Amino acid sequence: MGSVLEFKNITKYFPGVKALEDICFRVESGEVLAFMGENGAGKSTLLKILNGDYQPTSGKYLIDGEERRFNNPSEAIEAGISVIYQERQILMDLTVAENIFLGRLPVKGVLRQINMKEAYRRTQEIIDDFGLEMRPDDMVKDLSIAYQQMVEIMKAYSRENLKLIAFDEPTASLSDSEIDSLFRIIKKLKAEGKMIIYVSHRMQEIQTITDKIAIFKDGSYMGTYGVHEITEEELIRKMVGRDLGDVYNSLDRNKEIGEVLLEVKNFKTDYTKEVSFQLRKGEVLGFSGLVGAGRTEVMRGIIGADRPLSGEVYLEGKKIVNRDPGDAEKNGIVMVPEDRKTQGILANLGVGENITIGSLHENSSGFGIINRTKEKEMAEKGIRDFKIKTPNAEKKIVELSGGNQQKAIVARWMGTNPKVVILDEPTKGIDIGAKSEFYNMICEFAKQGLGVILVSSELPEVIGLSDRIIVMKGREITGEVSREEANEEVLLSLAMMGGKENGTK
Amino acid sequence: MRKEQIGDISRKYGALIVLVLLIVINAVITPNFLHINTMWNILIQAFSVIVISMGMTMVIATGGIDISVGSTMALASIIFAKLLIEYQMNFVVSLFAALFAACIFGAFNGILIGVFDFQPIVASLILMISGRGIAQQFNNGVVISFYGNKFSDIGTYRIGGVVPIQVVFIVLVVLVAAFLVKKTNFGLYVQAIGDNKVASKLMGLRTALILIGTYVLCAFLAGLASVFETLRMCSADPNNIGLNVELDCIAAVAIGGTSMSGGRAVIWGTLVGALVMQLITTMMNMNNIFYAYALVIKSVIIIIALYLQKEKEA
Repeated sequence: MGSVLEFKNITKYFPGVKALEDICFRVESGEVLAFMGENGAGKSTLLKILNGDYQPTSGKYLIDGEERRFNNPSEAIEAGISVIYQERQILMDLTVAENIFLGRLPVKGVLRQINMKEAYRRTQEIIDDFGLEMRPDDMVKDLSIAYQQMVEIMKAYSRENLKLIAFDEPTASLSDSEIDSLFRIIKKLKAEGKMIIYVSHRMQEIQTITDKIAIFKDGSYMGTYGVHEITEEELIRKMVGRDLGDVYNSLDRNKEIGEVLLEVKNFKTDYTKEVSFQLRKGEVLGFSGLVGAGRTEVMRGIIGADRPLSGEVYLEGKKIVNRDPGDAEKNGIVMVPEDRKTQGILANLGVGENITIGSLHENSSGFGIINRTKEKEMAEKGIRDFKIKTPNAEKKIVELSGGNQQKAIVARWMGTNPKVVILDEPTKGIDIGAKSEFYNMICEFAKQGLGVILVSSELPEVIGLSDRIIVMKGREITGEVSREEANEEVLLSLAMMGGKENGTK
Repeated sequence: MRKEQIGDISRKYGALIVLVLLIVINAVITPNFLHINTMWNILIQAFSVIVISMGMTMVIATGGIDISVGSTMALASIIFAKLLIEYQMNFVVSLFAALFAACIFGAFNGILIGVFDFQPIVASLILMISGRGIAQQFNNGVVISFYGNKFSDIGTYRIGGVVPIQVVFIVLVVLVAAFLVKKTNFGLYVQAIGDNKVASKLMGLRTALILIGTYVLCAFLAGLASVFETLRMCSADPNNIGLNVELDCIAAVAIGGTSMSGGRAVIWGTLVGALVMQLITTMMNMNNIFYAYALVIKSVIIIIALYLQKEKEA
């Protein structure tokens, strides 16, 4: 049952970029191997080479001692290699059973028609194996995100020859209890002698579920360590080549907090209960809570993306009404949304256009004719001020790294000269180097006298940056903590208060 | 490396390459092709498709589609002729009334799509089906003809006796469309909506208004094309005017390199696409090729044009 995967001198060049250089190491069955490294370190590229999405420029990989080369992902799947990506790769309008057996549904009779009964029976077996609460004929779109992911895993598992399963940031959108059930499945796969690769940025999860850590830095393999042989500090130093110990302490924070800037009173939308809070000039106000606690929903209500049912919003003492995000922007409240890919970037447009589109009316005449000179100046200023790494303003935004895309989106909003800026998970999925740039940026905003609302699920980040932290649970505010009182236990207990865990929905 | 460069060129200029090839082939095989009057005729015949597909390019750039432009032409045509000929109203008034009626159709599409979030193909299907009926209703399905009338020469008017009036309008409409796309907020917003509607909404764009504007613009151009067509034919025939024009326009946009999923409007490409479509038809006609074969040959050329500029797979 034991199988081995060996990478031998894998190198991959993209035009102008070296993505991987001379990667050599092995993965063995019955162990969970973590891939760690900053974004762009080469983890995902290596997975894509393994499953046939990319072809290596040179080098080879061997499975059980035999050299293999997959021309596309389906060949890899046939050979027992499955990669579970962050983006769901299942069909929402089909049932669980159809998704699992798509393309190889059992057939019967002379006409070889699909034998759905048999498919359901076999699916039920797998569901029971996994110990999950779902039915073979459930529509995938009706399942929670965690369960949708489970369907993908079951799909891989349903192949008898499954040798290796790789998870690319699987927990990004899962709640704690959902993560538990994922880990249970991973342990089961491990016990059955599968090779498991687990790509994640989350230290806690790595320590819980993995046995060894393979570290990548700038396209090179930095070695594999037993998960308990290496301390967190050593690990980070190997990943980034610098000490990140006190990134928060070295921040130059704003010390002068002014009068009340934004006041939200008994505010309620379809997606939140009544909330009230204040934000002062030059203050960084953290919003903490578990995923699904309603933080994003409150912010969407304030900027008018969701319709408010009751309550008022005051800006500098004046009552304002934001019927849509356009109103909010005019009033001086902007929000950098959580998911830059689906809610932020305009993939077909250049970096410059992505920055300037938020404030085009300032760069154009009364008839809406764009003043290219002014627009270009603004784009270049944004790229300079926010230290966006791009060869020029015309480069398509999707070709930049996640951190630089995010900077461009922030630049877009700051170009509108807001008074209040709401940052929803601003450092999600970006690497540690870019994160510290964001932290400095947030402090800079506060110093300029802006009110900053920081919605973040990363506790060290909220604690390290905020002057005051509001905690939400179950779509309402459950507490408020000052910077001095804040620590992870306090925030977590407020976020989970009532003992009832925020479980699967 | 060289192979990739060739790929880049064909991707960018695929439609143009096909157009040039067609011109060269025609210059060799088609008698009288290089005569200036042949050129004018090609442009006159392509007039409707070129003008309407400028609007269609923007509609498609928003991620939408408008299959009701043929019906819109029928409506504008009958209203124009009814007012001008039967009610003997002022030319300008009739023209504006026809354009206004077309814009109402456009607004109807735009409201369903922008405000009520209907799927564009379904929303515009409504008027595609019923619009022609509404148009026929205005004159009980009877064609209004005005041969020998004082207006019957406008459609064939040539400036300085040389340049057909249609050609002037083609230049005008294409320039305005290119200006809109390249130089105005509206043009960028249209592409932003097609690129990422959620992001566009969150960044404060009035997406509903922009969508309504786009569909109104498309319908306006259909109205404009319709008036010219009516003047040229000296008759308003709501049963036949603009029949299948939406398909030619969509094909022109596709050949021109605008992505059907939205996000990018390639105005010059659409112009080339429309000319390619018309050149094929003209080539078939002038060489007396049997109509059924002509259609097949047309499809083959479209496939070649689309293949040349196929995006590399990621």
